Amino acid sequence: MNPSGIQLFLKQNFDIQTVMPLIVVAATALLVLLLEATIRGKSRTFLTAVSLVGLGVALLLTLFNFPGAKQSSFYGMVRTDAFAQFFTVIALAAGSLTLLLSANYLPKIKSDTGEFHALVLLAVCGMILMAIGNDLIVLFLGIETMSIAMYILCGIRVDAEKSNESSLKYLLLGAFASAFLLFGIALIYGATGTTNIEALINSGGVLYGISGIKEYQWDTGAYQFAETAAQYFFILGVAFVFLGFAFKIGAVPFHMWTPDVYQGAPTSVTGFMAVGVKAAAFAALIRVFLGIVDFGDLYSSNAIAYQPLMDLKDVLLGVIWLVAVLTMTLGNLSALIQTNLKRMLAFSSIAHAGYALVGVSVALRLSGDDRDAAVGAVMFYLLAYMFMNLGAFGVVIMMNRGNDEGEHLHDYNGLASYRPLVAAAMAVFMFSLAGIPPTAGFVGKFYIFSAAVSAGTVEGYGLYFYSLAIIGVLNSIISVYYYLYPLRNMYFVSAEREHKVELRPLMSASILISTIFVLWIGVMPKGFLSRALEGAKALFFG
Amino acid sequence: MPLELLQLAATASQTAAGSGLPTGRMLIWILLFPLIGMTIWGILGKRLRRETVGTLASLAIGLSFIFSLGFFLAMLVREGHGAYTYTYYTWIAAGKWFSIPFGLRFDHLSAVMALVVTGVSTVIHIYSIGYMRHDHAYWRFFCYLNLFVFFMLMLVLGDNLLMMFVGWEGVGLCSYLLIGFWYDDRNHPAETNEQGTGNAIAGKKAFIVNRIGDFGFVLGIFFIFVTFSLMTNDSAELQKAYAGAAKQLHVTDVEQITPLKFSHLKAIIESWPEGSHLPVMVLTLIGIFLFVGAAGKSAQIPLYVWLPDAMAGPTPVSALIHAATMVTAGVYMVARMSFIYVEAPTAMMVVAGIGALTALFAATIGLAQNDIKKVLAYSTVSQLGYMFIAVGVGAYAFGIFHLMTHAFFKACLFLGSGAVIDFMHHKQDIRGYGGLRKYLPITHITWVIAAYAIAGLPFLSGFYSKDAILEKAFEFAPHGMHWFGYAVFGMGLAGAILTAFYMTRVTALTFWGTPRIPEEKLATFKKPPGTMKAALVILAFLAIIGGYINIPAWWSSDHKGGQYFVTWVQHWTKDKVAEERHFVQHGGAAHDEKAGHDEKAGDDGKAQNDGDKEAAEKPHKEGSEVHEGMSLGMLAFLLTLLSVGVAVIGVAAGMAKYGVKKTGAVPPAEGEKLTPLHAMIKNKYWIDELYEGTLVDPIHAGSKYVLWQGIDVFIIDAFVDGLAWFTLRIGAWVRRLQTGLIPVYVIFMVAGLVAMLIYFFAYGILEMPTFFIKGGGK
Repeated sequence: MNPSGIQLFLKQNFDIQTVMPLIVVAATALLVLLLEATIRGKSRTFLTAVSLVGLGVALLLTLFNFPGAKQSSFYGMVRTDAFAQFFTVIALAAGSLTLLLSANYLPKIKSDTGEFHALVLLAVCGMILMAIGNDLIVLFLGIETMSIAMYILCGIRVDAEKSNESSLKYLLLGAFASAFLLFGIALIYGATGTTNIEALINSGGVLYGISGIKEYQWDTGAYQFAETAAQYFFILGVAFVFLGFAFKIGAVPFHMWTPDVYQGAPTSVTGFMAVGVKAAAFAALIRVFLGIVDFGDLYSSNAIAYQPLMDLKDVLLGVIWLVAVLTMTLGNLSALIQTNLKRMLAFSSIAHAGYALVGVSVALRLSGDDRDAAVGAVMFYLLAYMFMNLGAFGVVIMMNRGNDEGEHLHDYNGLASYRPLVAAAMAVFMFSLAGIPPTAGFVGKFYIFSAAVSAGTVEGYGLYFYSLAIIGVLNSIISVYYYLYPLRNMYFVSAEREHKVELRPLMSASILISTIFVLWIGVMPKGFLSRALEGAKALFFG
Repeated sequence: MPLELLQLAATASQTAAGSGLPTGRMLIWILLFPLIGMTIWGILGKRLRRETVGTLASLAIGLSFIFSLGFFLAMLVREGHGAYTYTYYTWIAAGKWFSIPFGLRFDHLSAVMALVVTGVSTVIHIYSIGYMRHDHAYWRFFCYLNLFVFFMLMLVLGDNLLMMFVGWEGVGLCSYLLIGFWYDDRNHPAETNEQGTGNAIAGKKAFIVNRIGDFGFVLGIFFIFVTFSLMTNDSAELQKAYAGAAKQLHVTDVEQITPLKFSHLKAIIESWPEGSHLPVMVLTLIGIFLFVGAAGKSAQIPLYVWLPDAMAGPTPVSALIHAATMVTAGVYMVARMSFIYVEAPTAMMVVAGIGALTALFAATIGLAQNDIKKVLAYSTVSQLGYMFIAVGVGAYAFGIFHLMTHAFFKACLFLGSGAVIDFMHHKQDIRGYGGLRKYLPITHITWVIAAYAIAGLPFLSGFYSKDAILEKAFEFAPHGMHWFGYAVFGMGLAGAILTAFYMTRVTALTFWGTPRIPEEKLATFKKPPGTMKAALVILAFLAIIGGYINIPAWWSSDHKGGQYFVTWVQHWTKDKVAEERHFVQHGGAAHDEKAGHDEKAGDDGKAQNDGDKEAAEKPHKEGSEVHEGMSLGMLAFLLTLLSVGVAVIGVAAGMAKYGVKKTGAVPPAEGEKLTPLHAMIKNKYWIDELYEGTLVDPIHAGSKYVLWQGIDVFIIDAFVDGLAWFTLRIGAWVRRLQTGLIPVYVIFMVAGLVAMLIYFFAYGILEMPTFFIKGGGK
């Protein structure tokens, strides 16, 4: 029996399966709030458990029951391909690890409230939305859901001045960036008549249709008014949208908020922000911007001399190239002189966004399997980065003794002698962040830089991409200095006094999981990489 | 006959087990047991009981031995005695022509080596349980020892030069670790300086001297690849040779042939097209470079200086690494590459010449040493010289034969010295011994057996192997130069006298006569434990019977039986002498086509040999020339009499000087005035001082004052430090941007946006908005 028309319609446009992980996480968030309101005076470990179960169920759904490839639903608003799956997993894993880390940390900073769990879950919702969103409006919705949760999370330590400052700064600057993003979306809608990314990319004709002009002469006058305006809005829109995403990524020069916000926020939130928010923003950035490249290609395949949009690809490439170089360099140079480990990691996270941007910039120029490899490298890197960075923040949390104590580099002196396992885990994370084998960070950097080198072989782009790879490697070398500094303190400097470092089970579990994954990905990257490549392949419309 | 008996035993055991022969895939287990052992002792050894570590470490090597034995027996019963080979995976691959397999090769040659290595190692492991019983780093010792066996087996069983090289470097590392095992040692306080303790310095010296040799080895490998790879050389001859080799190896594609694999390289050289010459110059160069490596590892002139110092390590290490196994790796390597050496007579001359010089030279130094282990060390250097004489004159199988018997008796001697040293509270000076036979009867008996075996007295293993080598040397005539063979023979003979003399000397001074320290004190010393005695007895037994697996040809009635061992090894090695012997005995019927290439078979050889008094010549019909007037057996018999004679003379002289009770001479104490000759050999001809003065000190000074304090500090460090300073300055400057003020941050964001838009304009994808100016619409 054939499904009736209405069934088919519902199946195509209201397939609940596509948003199931999202629903599960959102429901868990509400449940946690309810429980917080009804159960009083009890340990919040229970709430952590509930949240983790919710995230776990969502993770299982994502891993094993994700709708088929390239399936879009809700009138094309969401698209559940392997790319979305990959980033959903990152978001869920980042949320889970953060909750594990926070379980023992929140009481220490006197912020042990149920809202914390709910907010983390809601932020994860936003990230999932950004991963599966196939429409600029949905992406904006995702970003705002995530950001508003993060604004509150940053200020969750109501009694700490720095936390409040962090929250306020993030809110003000975030609002500023969001405004640009929304304005950019509006401009693109104005130019093309759609906000749907798929339609946008397939809409070579739409943009072209606005003008209704078949033979175009660039140097003639007002005759081309409509078309020129559309193009004008479109390109402006692209620039504004880029600003919006770059802000979330923390790319230079839209990064200024990161050190202040990261340092002021509770450390587990900082870790969450550094990996989760970044990964989600990258997901949106890649989906939108690499799509626009296809958009330009469509014009060339239509053999219409529509030069500006063809050039858009090169211009974007140039912009992202420069941003990547600045981001890597500034991030590393600033991290170099920090004496507070948390602040150092904040700056280093800027640098890591720069490395990932190298991959994005490379993907803009490549095509076919090479482009998949470049995008796959970025995705792989973000996955690896999640584990190593959350692990490092986990150790920082473990060393923390309320307030800012225990964050300074000299607090790590001689750690190896009285907490050898913690020191060893930290060593693994630092080696990985610095990109030293056999850790995940090395493999990630290797894939990204080798993508850059392979892009360098494209005729005429050698200077662009070889230099990018070289600058990237030089930056890695700089970063070795500050990543190995804590190791030096841990292993070669004797402790003036031993700090009390508690090995609480949940926190240790989080660090252990991170360590295992950092080494696992570093030693056997193949499985992870092939999932990333699958995602990259699914991203592009055939 | 032993061979038949072994075959019978193998068949019987196989039938009993009811299973087929082992497969080549199982070869890896020979290597895995020591590797697993090493890993466990390295990680957990500290927490385990001493006895557990020692027993299980011995067991691991024992299992390796049993597996080797199993493969050996399987080879015996296998049709055609075929070798076991197995390629596990491609280890290194780069491009079309460079592919190195991780493969093992258990053939006739490596079977012998594997059995000797695992067998002797097992015995020495058992001995070490007793010897190291008081050491606090017991587990570390067994960890290193197991690791050593692993690398040694990799060296022996690897089926290509690179795997051999990995094993080669690995045993070098273990040697270094074990020589310096007591790196915080108290025994040599005088030698301790700013470079480290005496033991650590000795380890370093061994390592560095070996690097010189390894450099030669690597060059040899490079030359082999460059000469015999189609990647670098696509001459017509080589392509033909590859085609022939492909046929011989039953591979379909020449791309599957890799010249660094022993069997492939051998096939290439053997398939060299008729009528074109092998590149003899290059082969000679390769042979010499490989020998430089061998000379480093096997302590030959001029690279022998590390071995006597290596005695700083624990005595079982001296026995295992610095006598029985690792130092013989060079001999094994030359035998493995025999197909290259037979084509390069000049390289053979170098090998034989250096071997003979070393055999004699080291024996003279051995005459005047007073440290029991130093005597044995120089004796080892000297005996290795004999092995190189053998492989140098083309008697590869005899070299391996001597390698095996030497492993037995020298390990026995070292372990005996270990028992003495252990008993004497780590005193090593033989002037302080004397009369120990009463206190260490078993050690004494085993020592005497081994000492007479090395001296070459008849019916002990050393006699059979050394005698055969001298005989082959006598027949050696590279480029038709018989005098060279005679010279080598003469030096070998002289060395043999000295060997018999110094072994008698050290035996007499240690075990015979009256004790030179008070007897009541000696009586309180603790006797060695049972494990040590058991090891000594096993090795002494082997030192007796080890020779009988290859009795001289002239012993057997038909002049061809009895050479089981040599016939076995010759499945791989291309023994020149043996081939000729072969067709003398069969009237030249079984002529190998390669004999046509042999220099010895050349036309010019005949004339030079006419006046030879030992043997009246009758030219062979193939043009090959042997001492045939007198029957071959007769010549061999005379030579044997000669070498027995010199051994007896040496022993007798030693007995006369040191062995006579009461009046036996004792070497002069330190500080006493020596005759110039005595002083010269006691001070080892001042070679160490010579090297120190001419090489080590200048290099050290150059490194310190020019490279380090000059170039490193002023150029490299200054550059790097300057760069770091500069980077930090930039970092500090960048930090100032981070003001913490929101308006500033916003300004930066807007500036970024504006910059981006300016870029868009500059690039031309945005133009000045003319449509605003020109007024909206049509």
